[in-house]
Amino acid sequence: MSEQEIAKGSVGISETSHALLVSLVHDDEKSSEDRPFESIVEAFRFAFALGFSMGRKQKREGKHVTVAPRQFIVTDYQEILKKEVTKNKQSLGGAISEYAEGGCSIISETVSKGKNVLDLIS
Amino acid sequence: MKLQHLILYNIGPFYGRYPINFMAENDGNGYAFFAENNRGKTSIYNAMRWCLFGEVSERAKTVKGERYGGSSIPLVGEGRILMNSHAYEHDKNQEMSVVLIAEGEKGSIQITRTATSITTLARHDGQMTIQLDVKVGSDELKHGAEAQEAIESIFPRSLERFFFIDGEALEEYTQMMSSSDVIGLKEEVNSILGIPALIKGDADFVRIRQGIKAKIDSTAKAEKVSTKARDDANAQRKNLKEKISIADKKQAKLQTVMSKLDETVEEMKAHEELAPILEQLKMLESQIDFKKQNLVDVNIDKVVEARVGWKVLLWKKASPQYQHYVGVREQLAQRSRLIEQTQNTIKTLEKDLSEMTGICTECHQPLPDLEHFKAKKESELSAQKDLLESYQSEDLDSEDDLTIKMAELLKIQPQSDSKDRILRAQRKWKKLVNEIETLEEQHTLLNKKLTEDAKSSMVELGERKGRQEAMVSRRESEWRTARTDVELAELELKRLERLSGNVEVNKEDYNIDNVISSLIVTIKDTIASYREKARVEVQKRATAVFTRLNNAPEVYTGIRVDKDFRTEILNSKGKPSRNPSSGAISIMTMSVIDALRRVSGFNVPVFLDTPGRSLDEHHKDRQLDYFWQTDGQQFLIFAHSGEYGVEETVEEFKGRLAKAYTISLPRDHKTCFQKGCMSEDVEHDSYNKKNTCNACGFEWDLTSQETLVLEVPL
Repeated sequence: MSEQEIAKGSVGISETSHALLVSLVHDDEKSSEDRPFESIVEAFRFAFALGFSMGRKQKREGKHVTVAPRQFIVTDYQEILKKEVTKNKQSLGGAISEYAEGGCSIISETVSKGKNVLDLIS
Repeated sequence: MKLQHLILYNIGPFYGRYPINFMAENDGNGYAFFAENNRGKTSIYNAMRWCLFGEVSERAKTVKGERYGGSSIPLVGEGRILMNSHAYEHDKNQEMSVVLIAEGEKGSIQITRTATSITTLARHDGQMTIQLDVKVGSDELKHGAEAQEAIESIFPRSLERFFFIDGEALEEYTQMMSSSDVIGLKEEVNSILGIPALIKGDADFVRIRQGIKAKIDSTAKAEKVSTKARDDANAQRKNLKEKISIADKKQAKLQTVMSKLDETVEEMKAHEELAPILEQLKMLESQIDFKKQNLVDVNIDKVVEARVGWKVLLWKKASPQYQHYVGVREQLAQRSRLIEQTQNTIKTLEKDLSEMTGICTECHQPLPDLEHFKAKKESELSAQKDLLESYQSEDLDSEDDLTIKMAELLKIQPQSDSKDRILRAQRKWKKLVNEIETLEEQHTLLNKKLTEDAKSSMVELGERKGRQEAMVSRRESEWRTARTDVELAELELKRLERLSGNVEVNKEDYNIDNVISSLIVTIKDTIASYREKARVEVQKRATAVFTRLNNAPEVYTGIRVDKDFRTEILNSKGKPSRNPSSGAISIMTMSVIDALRRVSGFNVPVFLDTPGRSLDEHHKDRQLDYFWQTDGQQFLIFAHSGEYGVEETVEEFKGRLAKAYTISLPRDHKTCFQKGCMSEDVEHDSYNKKNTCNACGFEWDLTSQETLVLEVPL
């Protein structure tokens, strides 16, 4: 499969993960809560990056929520995913969504341990 | 006052010192100075005026009864001057003086007036200094203005015209006396009657009265102001009372609130043991609030830093890929170099083989084993070609592809310190959250120590205390404002009381005003009465003199003087004479002047210049006959030869003529004028212009300008 043949696909996430990401979005009224992201897209981007860096992919289960394609351009990440999607004959969006789902799992585990989300980058 | 000596110095035609003696051996009061015109009669007359008054005026003019004074004759300068012209032009120090010695009521009087130039040649009177010295009896010697005042008390200048009589100006007197417009004479009549003193007194009283009236008016005005101020003060007292009442009410309210506040404070004391806990709780609450506010900012910082968190994570995996690309790019560069190098080697080898001649290129000797050498080179060439092929067959990305890939990866590269910044922001936020949690825990623990009742009670008390303190503050402010109003009202009241309390009506002022008013009326009445009496007296005396001097008593019977001192000659029927003769008019004038002088009561000499100018022989004789007596005021005449002859006059008035002088120049004398000689045997030398007395040998220069004042033997 050549580069031209890599499918973009759409990005989305499970409802559970979406709920988790929503809980991570900043709120002025809730400064003492760990909500480090400006928006749901930023939270999604972080989850994807976390899943990718940890090499953790996870299939979506149940209903899923689509992430706005205009705010999350999958081709921005083509270079790092190219070999993988080529190899797995997968779309970029699909790979990203799986990594994001995986990232959400990691976050969930971390949060459940009483740790903070940003601790995960250390 | 009786004139005794007159000493002239450098005045008129008198160069040098000229003493004139008026001390007579007989009882006569007549004095005569005889001279031709331009010899110095009027100069002596003027010298005495200057000595007495410091000024000599030209003859005045009278227009419609009003006299327009002539200008002063200057002491020095050009034209007619008082100083002797020889002294003025030739003396090194210009000086002139007149000394007048007389006997007055207070004893001897000596008046010395001296004018001295302050420059080499004084060109005007401003360059002359005048010194006046007056000694009266045993009084101290007086100078300047004080000396002039002393002269005025003896000889008032306002009366000058009635004692220094200019015969040539007699017509002016006549005109003034008969004119309906008599302003000039009226003033002088007033002067001679001494009325100015009364008028001055009247004016003084009017001025004093004006002052008192002003004071009374001012007092009345002040009284008006005072009355208004009293009314205002009463209103202000009422106003003040109201303000005090308001202030008292405000104070009472304040005290009420303050007492309630005290009660609240007392109540709070019952919960004193809880106070520290409450204080601590408050402190914790404020700390929590502060930190929570701070947490908002710290949290925002964290969110901002977290924006690149995904890059940090992605770069962990992308970084090796990027490094790989970096390595590939280096490989590409190296392969290019190797290919170029190998191609060059191949070219060199191919060249060597094609150009091989069997001669060594270095030593230029024939090669010993050419075929072996050639095979070796071909083998090297083959190896290089294989190597080149292997380089070219390597499967590497192109340079451009590699650059694009690397650029794509760099998009997700975080900054070198991004991770640290994120973690630092995260720790800071976490630390603050922990601190808040700790404080909240402490707060919860403390809170548990307070019962809900106590807490609500304390809160309620605290709130009440706060409200009451605010109320106390407001009431205090209101009370202060009310007190300020009271103070201002008090100040205004004091001001009004001051205004209303300092006016006293001085009844004495009203009394003085009444008295002065009466005095003014009295003075005016006195003036009118005195003038009337004086008029009657002047009329009586003038008629007496006129009757004596008049040579037609059957035609002209007397003189009438009206209330304005206008005079008329009466005929035999007692009516005004229609066309009296000029002689009669002159005699009338002299009679009135004499009457006025006598009524004035001043006993000073009379100086009559050109006495016979307007009179015929009969009247001239009568005139001297009347004025020259054996007692009374000295009467000096300054006559020229056309008026009175020396010898005839001396002869006629022997006994009544006290002293007589002639004023002349040497050339006037054809007989010897040496005292005791008087010889007529004189030899005239027209060539040398001199005369010589054959009797005593005295010679005199006929060209000499030396004025001679010679006493006529009586």
